[in-house]
Amino acid sequence: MAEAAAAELNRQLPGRVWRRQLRLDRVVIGVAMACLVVLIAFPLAMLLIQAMFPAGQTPFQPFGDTFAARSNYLAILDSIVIGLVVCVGASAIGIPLAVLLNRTDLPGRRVFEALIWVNFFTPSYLVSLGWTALMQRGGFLDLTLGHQNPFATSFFSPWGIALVLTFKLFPFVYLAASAGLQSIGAEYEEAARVSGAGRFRAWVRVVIPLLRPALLAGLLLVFAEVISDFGIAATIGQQAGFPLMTLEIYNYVSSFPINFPLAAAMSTFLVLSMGAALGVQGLLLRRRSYQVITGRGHRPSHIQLGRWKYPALTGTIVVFAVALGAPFTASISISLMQNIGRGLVASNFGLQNYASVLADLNLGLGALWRSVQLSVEAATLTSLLSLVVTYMIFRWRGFGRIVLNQLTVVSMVVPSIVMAAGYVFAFNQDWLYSIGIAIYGSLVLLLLAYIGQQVSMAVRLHLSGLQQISGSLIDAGQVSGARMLTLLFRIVLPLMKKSIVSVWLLTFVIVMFDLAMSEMLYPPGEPTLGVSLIQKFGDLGNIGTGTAMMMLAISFVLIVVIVINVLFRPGGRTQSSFAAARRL
Amino acid sequence: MEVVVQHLSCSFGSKTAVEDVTLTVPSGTITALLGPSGCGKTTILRSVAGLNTPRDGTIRFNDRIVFSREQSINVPPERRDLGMIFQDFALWPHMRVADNVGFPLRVRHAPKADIRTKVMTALEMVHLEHEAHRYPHQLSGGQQQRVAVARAIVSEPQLLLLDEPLSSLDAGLREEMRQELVRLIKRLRITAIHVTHDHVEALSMASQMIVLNEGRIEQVGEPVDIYSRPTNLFVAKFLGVVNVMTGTVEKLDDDVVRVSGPGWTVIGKSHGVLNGSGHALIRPTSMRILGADEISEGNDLTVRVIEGAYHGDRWQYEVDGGRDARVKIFSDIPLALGSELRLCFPADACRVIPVAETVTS
Repeated sequence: MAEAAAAELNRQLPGRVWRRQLRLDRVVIGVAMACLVVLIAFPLAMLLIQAMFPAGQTPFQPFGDTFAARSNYLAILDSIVIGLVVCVGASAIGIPLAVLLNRTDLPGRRVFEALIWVNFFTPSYLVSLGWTALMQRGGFLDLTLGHQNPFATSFFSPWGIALVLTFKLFPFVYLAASAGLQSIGAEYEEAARVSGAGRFRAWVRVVIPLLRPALLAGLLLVFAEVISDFGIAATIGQQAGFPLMTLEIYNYVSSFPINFPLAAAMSTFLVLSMGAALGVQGLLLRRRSYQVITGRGHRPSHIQLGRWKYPALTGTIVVFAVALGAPFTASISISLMQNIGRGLVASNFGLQNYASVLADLNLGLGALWRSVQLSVEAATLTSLLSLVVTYMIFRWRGFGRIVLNQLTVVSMVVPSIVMAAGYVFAFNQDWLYSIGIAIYGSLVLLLLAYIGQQVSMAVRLHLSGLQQISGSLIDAGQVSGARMLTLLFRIVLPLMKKSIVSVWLLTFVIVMFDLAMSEMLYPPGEPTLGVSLIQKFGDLGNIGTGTAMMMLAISFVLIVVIVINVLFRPGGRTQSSFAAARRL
Repeated sequence: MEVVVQHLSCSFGSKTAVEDVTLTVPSGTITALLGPSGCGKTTILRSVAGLNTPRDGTIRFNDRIVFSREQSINVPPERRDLGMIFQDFALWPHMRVADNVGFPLRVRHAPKADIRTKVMTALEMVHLEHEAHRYPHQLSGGQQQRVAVARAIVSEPQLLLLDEPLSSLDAGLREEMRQELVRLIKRLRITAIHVTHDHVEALSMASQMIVLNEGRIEQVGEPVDIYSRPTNLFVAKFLGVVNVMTGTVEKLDDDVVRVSGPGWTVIGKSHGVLNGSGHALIRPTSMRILGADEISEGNDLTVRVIEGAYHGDRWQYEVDGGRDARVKIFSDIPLALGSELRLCFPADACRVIPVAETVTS
């Protein structure tokens, strides 16, 4: 009797049963799920189908073809060898630099650290275009040496590729080694010294072994970056006639002879290699973090450089002069020359290239403006979608959460060029046209591809931001009587402001300078910034406007970054959260 | 409001946090859930709040069932109309004090003027009426705590949940807040459930105490009762330093028993039938050192001083009264190591419990 009465009472009271609230959030979640399926799952599934069950071939044949033709397996081998060489080179620069900047009294440490971040965020093709402007026959070095540049041909070779990649990617080793050095503190070294080891032995026997997992993790990241890089493969690699895996994939999708199944098989192979490298790296980092990271503050030791001070400083300056100085000096100088053929004479300098880019839509302003629009749209939509997905991962329990979590982790491993290939396979299909979806070859598809490629990183960034928010802040809101939407708008979103700004900014910059997806998916006659730059740099007659356009784009992005930093003050979050999402 | 929890079980994955707990929190009282970390006290509290979905059981506020696995009822936390104070205060850093406190009223769509007066009343109760425009990070730890209290009571809930609210304050402040919380809860005449691992906090604040261990209830009762009449070794040890002397039990009277070991005998009080061997439990504070010719009014135990430590306000010594009779005592004066002395304590201060199969500490 009493129980029946109580049950009746509960029926009258609001909030009965495991009832979902408001319909609106079901709609929002449904839309978000559909977006993930269309933007990530569908293209990747089509890529796999293309590789495993190609039309008109026996299943899995493309995998065999990949290793049957010499040019194909050479590309894979080349990528791997270059990857290993760059690992060695990047360690040779990154490790000493990490020790110098973290453990010594080298002057100007802060400036160098800032430059490392600049190098880290600079898109690889901008660097390699700078090198092209410097090194090619008739380029900047030729002009300064009176057309006697001894490296004009030899630079465009595997060695040149390795050199540029090494100086582009050493920040990964640097950051890994720095994180390791900061986390192991001075006490281990001091304990070794007190036990009777000299400074050298203390480093060799104690500090270096402690650093090993961090370094190995950093190197795996470098390797993954090399084999997935498209910017350098498509510029110096192309000119050198030295095909790397990413360029092969691009060629099989975009130029004669087209071979979708082969491109898909190579893509699969590339993704698996990336997954293996990053998976091992993740394991290493997890093991490291529970070994040496403690809650206690560490007091770093500082080595007095003494008479080695100036040699060390010179060496450091040389590294940055090569990494950033050389390519950008060449680009800036050329952008200021009215006619590169007239060489380094005072009357040849002026702002004419800038004026022509800004005056003429066809010369470059059109592409620049197109990229600005696309990156603003992509950044905004990616922020919105990633927020909803993050909320689902954060609040859901069980199977759905695991699936979403894994989807975002896995798709972060997929290189842009592979994702772009997936979009080609997925959206260039007859049945889509027949039901009226003809977005292939339009800017809409390019925009969708940008979002699909960026949303996973955005979700990981949000999640790392959310980890800093105590769960009790949300519990307190719920106990106070707030429902899901109120919680979201009153508490969760305001607390996530910084990570939202960071995500927007990062997506904006990355999409603005995207090359791989744009090359594969841009509509004919409507090039984006990256596509247009590659075209212009390929021709000495246009390199002046090309460099000017590059400088305008960089200046514009810098202004946006500064303005947003002043307005919203995300502070160091963008950098550190990006590094965290890349698991550095 | 009376809170009734019946056969509550909670698990996280394969790990069971709470196992078949039944308890009643009488209306208008402060009930303390006391236990070591991992005993399930916070899980019970979060289940009452609705922040945690139990595996099984029923939770009732008066006649309103807020959770029942059997009837598939699970009222979400925002509809349970309760106030909660969190261990880390959980003040929203992007809201001013007044907005933090007013939040429970705003989400209930109370009229603006109403919100303003109620927020001010709540802030006055915790003496923070002048800090309404500040942000949480501009306040001291004690002030933040008071804001959390004001937010928990502003919507005039009938039930207040406190999740170790004092553990992030320093010692002096903690004692002050303890008294203030008790005054406030009594003044508002609301029911409170207070989770803590600090036995002093539980003893001084609660009118009912529930001692938990490994997801189960060990003992329920009033503070005085639990402190002086623990039913098992775990409860006795958890509520402060206690001396345990284990020996053979002999029944003398209704509840009076004699416990004897090799070379020693004590008289104590007991409930229940003892199976022959038992623990005699005596708090060090109940033990007094006898003068040379003084005659004991209760138990009289001859012991030898083994080791000691200076605690500032007094000395603590470890003394030996024979096998299974090593005890701790406090002394206002220093004692010579190796010297013999006599201890006395009344039979009322000696609680005898049976030796359990498994002893947890």
